[in-house]
Amino acid sequence: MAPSAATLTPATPGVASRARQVLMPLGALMNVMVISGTVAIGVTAWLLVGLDGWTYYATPLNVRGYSAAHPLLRPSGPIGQTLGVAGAALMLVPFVYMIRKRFSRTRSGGNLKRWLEVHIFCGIVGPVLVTFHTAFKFNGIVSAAYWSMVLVALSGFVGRYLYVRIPRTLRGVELSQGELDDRASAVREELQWTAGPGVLDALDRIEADIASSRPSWFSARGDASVRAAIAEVSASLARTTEPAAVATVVGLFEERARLQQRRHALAATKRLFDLWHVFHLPLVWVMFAIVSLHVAVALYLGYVPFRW
Amino acid sequence: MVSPGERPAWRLWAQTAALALAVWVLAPAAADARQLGALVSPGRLSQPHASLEGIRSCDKCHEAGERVTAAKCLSCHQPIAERIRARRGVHRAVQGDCVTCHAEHQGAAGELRPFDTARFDHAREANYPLDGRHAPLAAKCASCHKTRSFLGASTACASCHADVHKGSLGAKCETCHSTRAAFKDVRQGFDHTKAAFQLDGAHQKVACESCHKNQVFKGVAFAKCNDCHTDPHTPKMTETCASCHTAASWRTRRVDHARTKFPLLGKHQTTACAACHVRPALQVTPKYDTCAACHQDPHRGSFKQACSSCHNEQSFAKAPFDHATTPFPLTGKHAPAQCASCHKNLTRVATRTGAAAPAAAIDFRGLKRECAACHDDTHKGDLGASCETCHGTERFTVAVYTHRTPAPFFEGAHAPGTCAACHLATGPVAMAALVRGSSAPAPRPVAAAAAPAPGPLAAVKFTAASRTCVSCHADVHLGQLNAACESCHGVSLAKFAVSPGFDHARTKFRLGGKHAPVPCQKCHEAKTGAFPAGPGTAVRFTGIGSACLTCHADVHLGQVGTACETCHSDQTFKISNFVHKNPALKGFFVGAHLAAKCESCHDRATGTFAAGRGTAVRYAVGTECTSCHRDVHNGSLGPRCADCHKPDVLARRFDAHAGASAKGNAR
Repeated sequence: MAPSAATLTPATPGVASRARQVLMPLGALMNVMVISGTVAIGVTAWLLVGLDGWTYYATPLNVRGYSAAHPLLRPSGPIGQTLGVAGAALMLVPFVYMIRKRFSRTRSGGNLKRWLEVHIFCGIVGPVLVTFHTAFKFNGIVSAAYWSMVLVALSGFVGRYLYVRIPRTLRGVELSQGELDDRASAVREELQWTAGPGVLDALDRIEADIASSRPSWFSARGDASVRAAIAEVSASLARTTEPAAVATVVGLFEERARLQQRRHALAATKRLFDLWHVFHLPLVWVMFAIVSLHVAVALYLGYVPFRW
Repeated sequence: MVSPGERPAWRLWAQTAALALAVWVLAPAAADARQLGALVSPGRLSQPHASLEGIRSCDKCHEAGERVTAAKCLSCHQPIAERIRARRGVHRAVQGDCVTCHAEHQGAAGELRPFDTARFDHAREANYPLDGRHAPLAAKCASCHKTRSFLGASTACASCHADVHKGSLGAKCETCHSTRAAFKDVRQGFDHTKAAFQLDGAHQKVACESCHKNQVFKGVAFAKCNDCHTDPHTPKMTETCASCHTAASWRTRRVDHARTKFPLLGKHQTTACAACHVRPALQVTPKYDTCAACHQDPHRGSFKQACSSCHNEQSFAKAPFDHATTPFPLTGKHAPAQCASCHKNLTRVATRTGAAAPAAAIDFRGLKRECAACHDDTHKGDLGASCETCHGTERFTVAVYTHRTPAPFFEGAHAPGTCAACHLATGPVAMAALVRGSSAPAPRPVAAAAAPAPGPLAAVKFTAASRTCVSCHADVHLGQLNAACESCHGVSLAKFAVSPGFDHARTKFRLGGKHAPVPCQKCHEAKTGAFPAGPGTAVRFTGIGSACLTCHADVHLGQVGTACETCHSDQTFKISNFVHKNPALKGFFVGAHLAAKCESCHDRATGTFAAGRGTAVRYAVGTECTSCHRDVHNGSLGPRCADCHKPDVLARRFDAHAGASAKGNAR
């Protein structure tokens, strides 16, 4: 794997503020999740309130065929089928990310992180559309595809949690062990030039704390103690130092502390991320195999889109 | 990122295993995956189509590329197809595919024919209105539609109802029955006017089966009354029934009794025919000319007059007899009195001929006119036999009686509220109790209308009532004040209040100053002991004495004698201005002594006084200096203080010397 060397030039004193933009933060990919959630909620609201799906989906199955919204919202209806087709199409888009990631020949096709965001958007909105396509009827083999999709989508959230904990560039390229070590020592060195002994003591304390903890992929507690140390340093500096300098020092402190924490947990996180792939991907194949059958039967029997 | 080539071998195995696990876990999610068809089915078929379940049957309804066509449905549902073609029934106007209205794959309980029974217009859709008694069946289709198909149900009554007439009346049930009424209630549906025999009068109320016995509705004979009715007359009447009876009622008399020699008047009108026409009817020819033909004479011939001189047809008992024609006209309370109240021998009797004989003869004669003939004399002859002197017929209680006694006696508390208050022969003590028990009435004209009954009238005594007070009132003073009650009490005062004008100055003790407002009982207390009239309890009015100490205690404990008036007056107990007049004190009240307060010398002390031990102001105080002052010289200068000290000139100095210890000034 070839790292993006240009962004990882060992930092020299005085250029810290430019160098520290390199690593992907923990909050990465959160925006797209918010956007996806908003779209999903919007679609849900439109269906439930705008088209009175609330009443339709709550009608008992044995008489649902005669409710007012049935012609529109039934799985083979204009809305219902469009939801199915659109959902299936959205579920195909994430493959682009996989292809972009797997085959180096596709490197020119946009940065990985952007594709991951598209992947996440489709992986959240698609299942919502498919859910309304089912009209909450889970019958036959195709329900297996549905539940596979649900599991894949839910596992995606776990994947994102692990993903941001593996140090990588802002463009989504994972850092090698050597790059990581270089970067950590560079940040430390820069900090020694810019920060006073109080900050370095605090850094030593939090690093010792990280080193003594058990390496684990689940870093909620570690994240909290790092956050606390950052807040403490920030507060103590704010009393004596001008704001711009505080931002620089605290930024370096934060990067160094987080790097140390992620390096500490890196092996465990990577091991779990590997296992996660084993779970995330096969279910996708199950889903697509069954959906293909489902689509084939529907088309064969004449349930062709836009022919309602 | 790890390239595929670098991936550990375990990942491939793990992925394969995960794939297999996923299929194994998720495949049963298709809950009814036991059948191959269920794998692609979007849901189970409804119960009627259950036989079409399975992958081999998809094309029985679905047509490749054409979804579900009406032609496929109607290839099975032939009767519906025919009706659609004929444009009949519910499907008469349908177009397009069946699935527009009928939804499938909605589960085994899925409804194929959603049916709003409340909205279904049976008259329009089925050309058979559900009205009257059929209306409640609109919600219970299965009551008539016994098969799953709604088709094939006939509108003929017999298709649902059994013919209890067993075909004897034909198949047109609606001739007699309608949906508006119960089957048994044929009367609602059957119009008997269409029959040869019209139902009129009482015939309208007769139950059908009274004439139509054993459900026979045809060929019932009706030409003669006795086709149905039996003739109760013996011997048989020769006339037709209709000459006396109508259909309205058997009881209706067409016999116009007014045209006979005995028109029916008053109670005779409502008397049952048989009361006079004793059965067999119309065999009897009553003698109509005398009452006695039917009625018995309860007077046993004692009256020679015709019955009609006292009685008429309206009522036997309430005959409009005018008592004024007798020597004793009934006035006042006699007017409404029952005859039997005076005429004791009246007994209610049956008066009809043939009824039981009266228990006693009803005799109105021989009753005397004197009051005593009916009323008892409660006065036992005391007041003679002329009751009317006091009593009238309006009421027994004496309405108005004017005493001939002088008027002042009957004023005030004596205003006669209750005669019995005085006229009760049980003595003065009981009298007093009676008077106390009744509130004193305001003076008013002598009228005793509201007098309560004081007890048995036998106890009332009207004669020989004395006007002396003691004849009615008890002397609560037990003889202390003699018998001249009126010297203090008057009849015009409420109860026994003493005249407010009682002048105590008439006694040996004039009430002045602070004695004037003192309540009488402060001095005149109730005592128990011997009184002129004997031992008892009474307020003491005599022998109280006029000395101060009779009422007041001597706070001086006998130091100053019993002549209280020497110092005190009846204006106030306090002594406002006392001047020492003891010659021994001449020249004593000068200087400092003049300004001293009484209590500086006359202090309160506890000790033995003339009247005994106690605490009182000391009045016997010596005049020598040492009786008030302490000798600061301890006797070294002798007892002659006045040689050096003068109360007038040496007051200040004396004060200065004795300030800390002089008994008088220190206090």
